[in-house]
Amino acid sequence: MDSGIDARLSKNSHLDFSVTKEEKMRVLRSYGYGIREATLQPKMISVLWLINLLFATVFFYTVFNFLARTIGKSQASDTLLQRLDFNFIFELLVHHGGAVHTMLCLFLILTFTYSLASIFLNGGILFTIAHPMRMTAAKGEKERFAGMFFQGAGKFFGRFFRLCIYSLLLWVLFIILHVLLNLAFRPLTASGTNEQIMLYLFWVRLAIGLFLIFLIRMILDYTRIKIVLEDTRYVFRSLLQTMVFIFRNFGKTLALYYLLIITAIILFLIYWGLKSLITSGSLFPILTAFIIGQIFIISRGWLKIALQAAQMEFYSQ
Amino acid sequence: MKKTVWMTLACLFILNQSVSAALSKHIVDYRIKARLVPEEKAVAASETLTWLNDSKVSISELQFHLYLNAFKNNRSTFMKESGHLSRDFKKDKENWGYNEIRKIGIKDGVDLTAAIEYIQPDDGNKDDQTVMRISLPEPVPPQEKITLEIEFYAKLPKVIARSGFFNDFFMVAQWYPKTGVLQDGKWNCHQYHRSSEFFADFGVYEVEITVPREYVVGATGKRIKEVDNSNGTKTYIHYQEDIHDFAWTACPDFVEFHELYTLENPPVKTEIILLVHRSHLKLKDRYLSSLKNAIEFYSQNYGAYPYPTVTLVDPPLKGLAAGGMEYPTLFTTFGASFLPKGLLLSEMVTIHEFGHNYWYGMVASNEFEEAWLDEGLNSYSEIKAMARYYGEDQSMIKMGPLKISDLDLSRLQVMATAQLDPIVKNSWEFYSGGSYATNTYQKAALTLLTLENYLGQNVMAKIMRTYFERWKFKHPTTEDFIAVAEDVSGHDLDWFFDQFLWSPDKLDYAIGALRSEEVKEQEGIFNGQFKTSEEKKEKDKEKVFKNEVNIVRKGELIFPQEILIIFENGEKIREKWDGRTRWKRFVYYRPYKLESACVDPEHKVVVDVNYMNNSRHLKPNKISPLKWTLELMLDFQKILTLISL
Repeated sequence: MDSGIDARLSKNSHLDFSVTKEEKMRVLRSYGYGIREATLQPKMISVLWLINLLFATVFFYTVFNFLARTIGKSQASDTLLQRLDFNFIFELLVHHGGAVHTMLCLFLILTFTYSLASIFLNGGILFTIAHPMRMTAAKGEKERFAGMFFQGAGKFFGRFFRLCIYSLLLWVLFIILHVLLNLAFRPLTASGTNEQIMLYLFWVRLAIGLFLIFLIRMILDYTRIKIVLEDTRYVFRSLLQTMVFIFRNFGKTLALYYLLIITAIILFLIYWGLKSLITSGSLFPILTAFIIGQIFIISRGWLKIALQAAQMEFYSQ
Repeated sequence: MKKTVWMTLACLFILNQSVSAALSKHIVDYRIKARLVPEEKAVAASETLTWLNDSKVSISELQFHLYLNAFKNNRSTFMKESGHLSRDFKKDKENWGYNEIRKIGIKDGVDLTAAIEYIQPDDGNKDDQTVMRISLPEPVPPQEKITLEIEFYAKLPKVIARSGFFNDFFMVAQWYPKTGVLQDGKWNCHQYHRSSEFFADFGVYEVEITVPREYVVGATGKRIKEVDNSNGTKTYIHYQEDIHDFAWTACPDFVEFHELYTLENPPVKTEIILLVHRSHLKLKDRYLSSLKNAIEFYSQNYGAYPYPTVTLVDPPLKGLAAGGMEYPTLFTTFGASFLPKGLLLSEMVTIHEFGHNYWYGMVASNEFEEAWLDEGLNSYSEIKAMARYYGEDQSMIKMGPLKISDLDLSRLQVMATAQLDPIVKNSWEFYSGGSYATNTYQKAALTLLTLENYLGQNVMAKIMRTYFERWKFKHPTTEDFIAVAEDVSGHDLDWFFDQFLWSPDKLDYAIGALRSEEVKEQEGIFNGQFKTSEEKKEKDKEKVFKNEVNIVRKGELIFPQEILIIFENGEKIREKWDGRTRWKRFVYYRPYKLESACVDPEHKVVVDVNYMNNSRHLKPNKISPLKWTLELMLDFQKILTLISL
């Protein structure tokens, strides 16, 4: 056997966690590209925010009417303006359980519908971000944002929806892994004598669970990127090929993903810090807190675009 | 000779002292020798029981509880009532538990083993063997005693309903043949039910417990002797008078702590013994501090704790089915190493279970038939103790902005449970386990707190203290409690107790409609004169509003109410209403409008199941719903972004 091929096969048959200095630069370059690209997309951020707000408005209307009818007339509203009194929360849940249940159903429907909308938006985001790359290749002229965004959203909705169905396989695998993990840990906790071990194992399970969730989401991200960049209709094959790609670039893809997660955590901490400064129960602080909240939601949209752009840049290299 | 006379006199004096020092009438005297057999998950024992016929009639049969037979098979009354048993429990023979009477007979007399008969006084379930009857060859005359010798084997179940084993943790409770209570010449000896606890006579217990040397043992009463045997075992002898049950525990993973507790007023001197599972050592200080609080609270409010010891047992996490249970001078608590400091479950369970030394231990009501007398009174005491030591509004949870009191949680449970049963009822006849617990614990506690707010704290404190003093070391009933309450308060309280104890109804008063309408000027013909509103306008008279406050009674329970009415200009009016009719209207003519009205503004009627409808604004407050809606909306938005991220 050719020794070069042998060496490559050997290298490719392992999870590659190693990140050289050059590769570190590559990850950082992609991260920087993602941040820059997202910052240059105010229209796209606005679309993401507005659609989120649209769903939230349905939520707002339902909840506000319910609360105004129930606690609005009662002096409970005065108390709740100052502090969280669980007597009233309990009473709300017990005495208006039917309404709360109906609202929960509505929220589930809203969440499901938003997931579909999100599949649709993903096509738009990736198609638009990929445009400069395609333009360079095709030397085409500049297109209008809306046309391009919704063209991409419509074009890839079917394929991304299929990907969503195929991804169920990964989620089933995730559940099986989790069950196996529980079974593996069971002998360690059977005696019940050392509760600390039970606690540590809980945290270990949680960490592994989160890791796997992020991993699956990352695989799906790269699959969508591959589908858009290659404009392929072979969704399942793309999913498998992406898994091979991630397997070969494990350390780098993870590093990039977690870099963006750290960015998300920093954004959240900033938001939390600002929000905790507002404590008064009058109208102005309430509206200020709401505006800060909306800025945070906008930043989430920005981060989503940054994530997609960074990963696309990394993949296209 | 002289010496003999003096010795005899001295003995008589000591005997007399010991008789007069007894706190209760000793109906039973148990001398038990028990040996733990860990590999069999069982206790092999012999028991010498002396029983006094304290009735006015001769008794020709004895009845005994054999509680462990509740776990013998799936046809026992306990198991039938419990419904589902886990597959894990059923599949292993070792998990089942039972009492086997190997021999029973009159001391130095007839063997009665062949006379053993199982009876089912509650439900006639022939498969239930939790009550044993022995016919005696000769009746026991009034005020005479009979001594029996019993050999028995207590196979413990895998920990379930208060007792059993988990690995090498053993909670040995309800484990020995225990007589029922003879009342008015009849045996009160109920079967073991899913929703019921126990009832027994006071007496003397001396129990020898032999376990492998590595086991740490805790037991009811004072340890009077400890013997290191040559065969790798140890024997502990415990003795206690004036109690009506005996439980013990053994586990090599217990760490034992001792501390002498003293209180000046009232004088209390007792040894605190903590048996903390080694995985919970960081909870030791929490247990100790809450137990000290409990001793102080109950001693100061009801009467000095009289026993020389109190033992707290902290079961391992997987043995928690034995947790949160009371026995005389010993109780099991609840703990887990990951329990946050702000979640005061260990404190609450410790205070509650210690409190049962009063309401169950000393005031020994019948838990089968009137469970509220111990659980209700004790939950009431526990809520007050938790509020005193951990804060009114955060006595159960204090974690950042999350503050929930013991009282809040009790109210939640009462609110959330359907009103299907009254508080006073045979424990096993409740609609469900949840209904039993809510009514006998929480609803009973809220009822007593409502009564306290009605009569005043001092009067209620006196009622409780008097009830304890009058009925300690006896078997009181609900009527006895009511009699004390009426006697001390000087009120006829039948109207209160008849409703609250014997009716399943709820209490809910609410503000109905609030109206403030301008009084229309006279229009039409009055005393032959025609009047128009135009005339009045010209005179530019001050406006007058007819302000109407409607109070409605939504529940069936009736209770006097206070109503606070506030007008726009800040004027406040307090009204009283006996609450009997379905609604009541108050009307006020004022040159200004109403602002709000509130029934029971201080929330004295804690048994009211809905506080939210207790008050009403004329103009709804929209800022508060807006604030909470915006917060919830933002959380919803965050969830949506997480889905799409």
